[in-house]
Amino acid sequence: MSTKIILSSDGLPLEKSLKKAERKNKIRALLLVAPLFFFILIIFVFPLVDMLFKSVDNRMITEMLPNTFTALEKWDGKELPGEDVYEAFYNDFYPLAKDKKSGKLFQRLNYEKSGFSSGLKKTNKLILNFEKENYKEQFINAHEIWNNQDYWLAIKNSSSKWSYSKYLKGIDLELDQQKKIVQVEEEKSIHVLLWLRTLKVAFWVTVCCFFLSYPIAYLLATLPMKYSNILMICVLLPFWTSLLVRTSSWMIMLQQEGPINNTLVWLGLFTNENKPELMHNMVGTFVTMSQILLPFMVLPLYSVMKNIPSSLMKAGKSLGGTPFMSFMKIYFPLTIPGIGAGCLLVFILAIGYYITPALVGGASGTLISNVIAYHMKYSLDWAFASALGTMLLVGVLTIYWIYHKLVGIDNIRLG
Amino acid sequence: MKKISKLLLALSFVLSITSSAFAVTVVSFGGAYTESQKLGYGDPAAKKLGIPIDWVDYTGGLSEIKAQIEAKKITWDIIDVYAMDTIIGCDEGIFHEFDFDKDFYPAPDGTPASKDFFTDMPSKCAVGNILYSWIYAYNTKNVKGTPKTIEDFFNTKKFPGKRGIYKDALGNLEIALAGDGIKPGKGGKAIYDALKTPEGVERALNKFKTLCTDPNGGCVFWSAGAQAPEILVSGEVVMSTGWNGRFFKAAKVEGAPIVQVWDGQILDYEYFALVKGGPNYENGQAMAALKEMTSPEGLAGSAKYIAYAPWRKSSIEIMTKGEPWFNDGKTNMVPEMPTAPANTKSYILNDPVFWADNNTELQEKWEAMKAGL
Amino acid sequence: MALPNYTPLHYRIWHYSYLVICGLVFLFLIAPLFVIIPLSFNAEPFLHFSEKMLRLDPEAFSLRWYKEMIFGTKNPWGLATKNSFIIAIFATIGSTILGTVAAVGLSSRYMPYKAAFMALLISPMIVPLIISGTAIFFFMAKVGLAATHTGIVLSHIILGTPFVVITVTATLSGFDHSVTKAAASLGSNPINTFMKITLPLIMPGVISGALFAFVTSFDEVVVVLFLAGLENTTIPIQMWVGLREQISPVILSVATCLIILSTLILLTAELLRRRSERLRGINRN
Repeated sequence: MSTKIILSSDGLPLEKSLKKAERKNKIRALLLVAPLFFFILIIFVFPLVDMLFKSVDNRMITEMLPNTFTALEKWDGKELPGEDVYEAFYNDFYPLAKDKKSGKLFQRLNYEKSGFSSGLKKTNKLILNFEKENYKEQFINAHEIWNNQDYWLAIKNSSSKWSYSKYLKGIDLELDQQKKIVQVEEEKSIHVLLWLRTLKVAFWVTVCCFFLSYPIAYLLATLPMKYSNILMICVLLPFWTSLLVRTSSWMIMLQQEGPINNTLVWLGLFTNENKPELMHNMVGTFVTMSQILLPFMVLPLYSVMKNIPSSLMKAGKSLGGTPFMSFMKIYFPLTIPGIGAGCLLVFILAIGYYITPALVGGASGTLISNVIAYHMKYSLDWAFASALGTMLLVGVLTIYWIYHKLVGIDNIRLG
Repeated sequence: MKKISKLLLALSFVLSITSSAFAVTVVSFGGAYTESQKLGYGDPAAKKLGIPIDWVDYTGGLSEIKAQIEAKKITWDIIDVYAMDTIIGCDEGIFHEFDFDKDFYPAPDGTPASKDFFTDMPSKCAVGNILYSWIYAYNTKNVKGTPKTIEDFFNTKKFPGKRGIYKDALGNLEIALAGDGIKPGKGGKAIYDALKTPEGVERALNKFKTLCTDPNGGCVFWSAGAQAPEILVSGEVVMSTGWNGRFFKAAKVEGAPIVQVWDGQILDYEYFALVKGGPNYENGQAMAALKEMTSPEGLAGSAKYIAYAPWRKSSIEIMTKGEPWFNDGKTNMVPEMPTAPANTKSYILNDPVFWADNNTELQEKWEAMKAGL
Repeated sequence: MALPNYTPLHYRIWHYSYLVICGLVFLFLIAPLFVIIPLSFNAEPFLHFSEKMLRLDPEAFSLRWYKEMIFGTKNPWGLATKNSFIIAIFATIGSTILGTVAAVGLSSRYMPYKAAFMALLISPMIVPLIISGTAIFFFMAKVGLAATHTGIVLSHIILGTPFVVITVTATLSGFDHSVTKAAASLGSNPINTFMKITLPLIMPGVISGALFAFVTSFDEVVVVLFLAGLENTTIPIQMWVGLREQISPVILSVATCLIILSTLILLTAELLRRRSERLRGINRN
């Protein structure tokens, strides 16, 4: 028996023709996605990868001090380096000082070891009048850091083109002279504390948001349309209002003599003298961030609850469950996807928050994002900012991955 | 859609050419201070030269201009800078070096500019602007008793409540030591001698750590001059450090219940610096504007609006002749100046060289202290 | 939510206390917005209710800060408003076009590796802004687009597209593909089909995505803070600077205007949503 091959109208076998059409459709779909894909690749993914490189790139300094690094290669680090190293350093530093291009070097070396900045600044002025011999002596006379082998070790340690030291710094570790990983001095180890604080704030804000939004999402989902639509405005209006407007309104609400405190005094809960402090501390951060992020929890919860038929609860009751039990056993499990999506959104947003804590949190409002912004805008240690950014990014992606494994990523909806 | 976008493109083009891209941009500390600068010499200079002058706010330090240079997009022409920053910026080649007598107007009697300044400039890149002071003030409504000394600022037992403190180490370390009982000595030499030792720095930082973590105390950090009176009036803090001109303005003009305490004040100078490679550097307009602004009449003009002393001897003479100089027409300004004898019984003179050399390290330690609160 | 007569007492108490809790949460959400409005009419230069204001003394209220906002001497708001609108409009156009086209591709049955592409395309929404801001700033500085409108618009397109992709794919998931097939069988080419049939039907989704993109750009502050120079200042930047540095009630006048704007956007979005529901209701029939 020979099977007859079905032919399509243009004479090709149907199977082939279908495949061809399918391939054509596939290509068409890909072409449609392509513009955005490449756009995001170039303007978003590429910069992120570039940031990763920046965090380990050490070439600026190796380009500024090539002779010094060559000379330092032979140095064993046990005592002060010899005249040749000082001479090589002079040859590198002199042209920079003469052309007033040494500013970056001060900054860069000072990230490596505190104290370089003032030492180099002082040397910078004197080096222009150095005599062309006895460099070692002249350097040591110019500033005491040149008489300290730790500083030379710091230079030697930064001689490789690529370095992961910024990542170590991000968790309060550093390389010591023997290239062993050690804890940094206590007064400078703040980053672990800030990572923990950031996690703590994000966690508690998520918990607050959950407990505040669950009841109102339930109310919105169960009320008749005409009432729930009005109440929905209370959720959506803040959602559409500028973040800075909401932050500024909280800055007024939480003032020492602001509306909240005045109300508390008026209610007789506090006296005028010992009003609670609501701003410039953790309380301010929690309250403000909870309110700002609340809609991100309410909306996914609402969209899940909306689709749970009310007959389920009735069925539970008719089978003899108490309202509480039928709620816990029937309703609550069904809302878990919404809870997951809401918590994920709030947690991720909270972990990267920068504007609000900076304005209402006071000194304790410093979170890891503020540190990134600080190094971007003020200390200009862009490599360190990149390293912190990369660490945060990896953290966020890990949370997403876990979430994806547990719940599935396509649950995120916007109202 | 196409039509709309074409229209928008055309619109945005029209809008962009009407904006003042050629204006000279002067960067300063905002609020009442920038207002005094704008009214006192900015507007008159702009009018005379026919060049618009834009005023932009910042909160001190060179990082923003350095970031602009890194990003290869300089937008600032003239910056109102701390003394230490003129030194750092000059050494790093950020600022233009002046030839004082050629670049600036002489005094009305013909004295060359360099002789008309109160002291020598800290660097060739700085031209004097004002003399001001870091002091503290309190809100009479929230403080029982009258704080009189710099020690009282740190005394949370006698005067409980939060304190407003400047965000950076500059100025704070000095008052910490003065508040911890070190007598400033002549011009604050004893303070700077102590700060040159690691123990002194430690002591100053600990003073703040104690103050900020004290349940009766606590700190609110301010970054812009206008914030200090604001947090005082709103009751956020009971006392705050700040710049005398801002407190003066809030108390005198706005009628806020603020009292200034001059004990242990830090006298400090403010300078202008010209950014090399700024948008109006090559065409000379930035320099021309700066020359007008720092004329004897120009500098005296700003004191009509704020209690800061102009940097030129001849400007003070102009003021003295013109009293009452304040723009309300009745306040004599010379006694309100930080340099008035009544205000300088115990003072510290800011040491820009010390700060230029050590700012990076001290600021690092300061930030670590703040982050750990 | 009236309760039936036979409801036991403890359940009644629970029910009413539940309503009270909900009321408080709604108050928590909405009340802060309304604090700003009266304070923006303050006659004093402090962000603080004076005693006179609390006594409703007419002297304590004035339009001082609205005048300052519009006619002030050193006034950044005009430029900021202009920039904000230009940037937001161009960013919206860009992200709507790119996002809609990509969403159509993503919704196709034939799209390979759908989940992976989706994850990549919505990734700008997932990555914390501080990181995107840092990375994009380095990139723009490198290609010479730092402190330009173009640079900011491009980065806002990136931030806006995920919203468009999500809303449009959501609309397309309820989309009846037989209509496009019908059009194709009647000889219409794909582009024509898209413009004449698909686009009008998914329009509500596109517009609500565009609204999201608009608000994202209009409200965005972190990336702009890194990218913008003086010429590119926007309303959020000025608000940020104002809150941190100038502390003048002008901010509150601006905030009041922004609240009015967001109310308008909310109403538009709501109307669209209802229209879309109606349209889809018709589809289902």
